[in-house]
Amino acid sequence: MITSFKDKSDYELIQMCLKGNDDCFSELITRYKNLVYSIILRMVNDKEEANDLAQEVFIKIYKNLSKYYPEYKFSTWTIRITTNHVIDYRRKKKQETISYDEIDYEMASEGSPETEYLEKEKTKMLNDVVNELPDMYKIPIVLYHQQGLSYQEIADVIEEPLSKVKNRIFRGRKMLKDAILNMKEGESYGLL
Amino acid sequence: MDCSKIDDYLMKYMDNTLTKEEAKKMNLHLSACEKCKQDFMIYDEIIKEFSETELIEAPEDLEIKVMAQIAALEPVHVKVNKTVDYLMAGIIAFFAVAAGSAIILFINRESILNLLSNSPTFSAYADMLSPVSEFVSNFTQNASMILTTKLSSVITLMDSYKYVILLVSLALFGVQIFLYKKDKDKVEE
Repeated sequence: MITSFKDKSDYELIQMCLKGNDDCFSELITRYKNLVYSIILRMVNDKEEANDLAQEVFIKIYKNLSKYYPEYKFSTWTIRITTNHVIDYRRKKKQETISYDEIDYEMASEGSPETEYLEKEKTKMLNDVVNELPDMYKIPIVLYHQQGLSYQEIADVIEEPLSKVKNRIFRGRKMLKDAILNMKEGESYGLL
Repeated sequence: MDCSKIDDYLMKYMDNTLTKEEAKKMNLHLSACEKCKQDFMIYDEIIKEFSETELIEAPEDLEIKVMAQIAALEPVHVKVNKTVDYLMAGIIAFFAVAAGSAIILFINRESILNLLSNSPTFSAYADMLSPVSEFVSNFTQNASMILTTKLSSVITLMDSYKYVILLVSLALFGVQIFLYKKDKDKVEE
């Protein structure tokens, strides 16, 4: 039964779910849980919180399945719901800064302990500067560079014109670059 | 080439859309400008760091937890089916058929009555129905006269306010499209 779900497209699964086969939704969660979780974790920086929010996002997606139109990819629709949900959540919580230290990114550990340490420091520094970006820049930057979405897909997700998306990504990159330069000048980080 | 132009090339480099010609120009500038070279190296490092960050794996039990919560909810397919009320659809269909038949009978009443009166079996029914037919004819004639009078005054009124009506209709049309789009994009909590 599960094997047959794997052959189905997202839209077919949604239609089957709307006809009463809730098991199809489990397959949709399996397909998109890493994407949803990664985006949320990038935005809230707390594993427990990200886990709770990911569950809420999937419940929201389930409740609104009948409102999904195949004019957008299901992943685009899912990311839109995810980012909007987290923005609402943060607005309600008025959460500003949380430490990134709790997130233990898995690094490819092939080098010496020193190299590993430097690599981890680089990743942490990028995480820190990305985390400092306002949502309006952070979301497009993460979706483009980390999730590999195109400019058009990001425009669909955040419901803004393509030109605005490009401007925000360009501006966001410059902000990242300036922040890294400042950090390098302030402290001797081993970025380069 | 001045430094401001390099910004465009750096963005194209990050988008992986830089042409060979542009890459040559950029390299030439970077070899001569220390500041832009430093910017380029930081941008390059940003791309590498992003591409090396793997997709973070969600907890394994996420599906189980979500499906457990979904089990306690009203199923979505019930919600979808609720929008189609079969009883109401049946009542509307019955009245539509009845109204349609009545209109057909009304239009063809003269020929039906003639047909009935010519038949020896139904001539008695024809005699019975002819006063009803006369009443209906008189009633519709009076009604049409009243309607024509009222309509002509409505038409005169509409004519005097045609631009206002047009503006209001356009505004309503706009509001309707806005509401439809809003409802389509609205995600339930």
